[in-house]
Amino acid sequence: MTTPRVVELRKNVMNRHDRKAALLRRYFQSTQTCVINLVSSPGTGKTELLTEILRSMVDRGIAAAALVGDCATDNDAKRLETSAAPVRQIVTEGLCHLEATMLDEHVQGWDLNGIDFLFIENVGNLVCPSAFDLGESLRVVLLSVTEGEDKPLKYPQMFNSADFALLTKMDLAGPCEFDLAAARDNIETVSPGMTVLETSARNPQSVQAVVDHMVQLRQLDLGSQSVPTDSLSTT
Amino acid sequence: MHELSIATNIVSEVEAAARAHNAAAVSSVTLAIGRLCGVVPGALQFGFEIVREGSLLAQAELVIEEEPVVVWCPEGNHTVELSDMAFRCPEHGCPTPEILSGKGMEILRFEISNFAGTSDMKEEVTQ
Repeated sequence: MTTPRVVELRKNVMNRHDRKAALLRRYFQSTQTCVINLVSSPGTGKTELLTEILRSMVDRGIAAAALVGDCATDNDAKRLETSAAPVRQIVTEGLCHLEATMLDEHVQGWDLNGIDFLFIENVGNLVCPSAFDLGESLRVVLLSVTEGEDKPLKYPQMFNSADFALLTKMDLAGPCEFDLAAARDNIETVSPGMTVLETSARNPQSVQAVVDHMVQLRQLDLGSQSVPTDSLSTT
Repeated sequence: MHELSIATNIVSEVEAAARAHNAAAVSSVTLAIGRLCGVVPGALQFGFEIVREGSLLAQAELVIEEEPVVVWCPEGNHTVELSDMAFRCPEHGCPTPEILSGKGMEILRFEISNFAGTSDMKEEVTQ
């Protein structure tokens, strides 16, 4: 006869992932690299906008690099490389999101010292990537004007988990009859107080404003970290 | 379909803990899943049934308890459970950006149905 026994485990399901993400976060903090996880549905223009952001950073002497995740092909890495920033491609072979272990494998042997910004272009998907911490400093969600204004209401978990939002392809807002106020209201509903910036890869000023915002957040983040003074003086 | 990946985590975490308790078989696993964590219970059940094969959890049932989203209302200074994903206090109407619970995914407990090796009596004593 067997005696059933109940074991109270109380363990985070994402333990394995979160531990890896915590190690990555510690590494990124040690190199003072601001890691930005870009999430959105497919087709919001992540690659196009990121190429312009990287180009703008390279022009301004800000050291930036990118890791791009896709189910298949290295097309996006090739596009991003035109910015002259270092780029690596993660092919997930069908997996719908990036995980900290994949990131770890691709960051191995990559000296991030001196890299101010590392962008992670996640797999285009507004559901799955929301559950996976990649050790990023900031999660940025993109919504393009060619999508419905109600996307934030349809995918509240993703929008709620982001640190700020970008409205992309603003140059097409008119022809798409995009209701900007409604989109902003919907973002505010699922993530009260979140910063929303309007941008377009075709408008260099708007890209500059996004870069400025990222630089500002990185400085705030560095200021809040208890970094020993000797490591601060090395950069 | 990230639920498959999450199911793999659940099986490996529970299996490791069950082995540490000298279990030969686990009959049930209970999870608490926050409504904000982006996991669909049905898809998780489906994934669990695939990945449990060949493990100590092969016969195990997955029990999912959904955890509501609880936020802080800054105007009324109280906690409030949200019935939908609009982050507004249903009483005061103000925005409620501070989330107190509903994001977690936790393995609460599991039940061992069979112990490995020696008699159950002895297991009872050593536990």
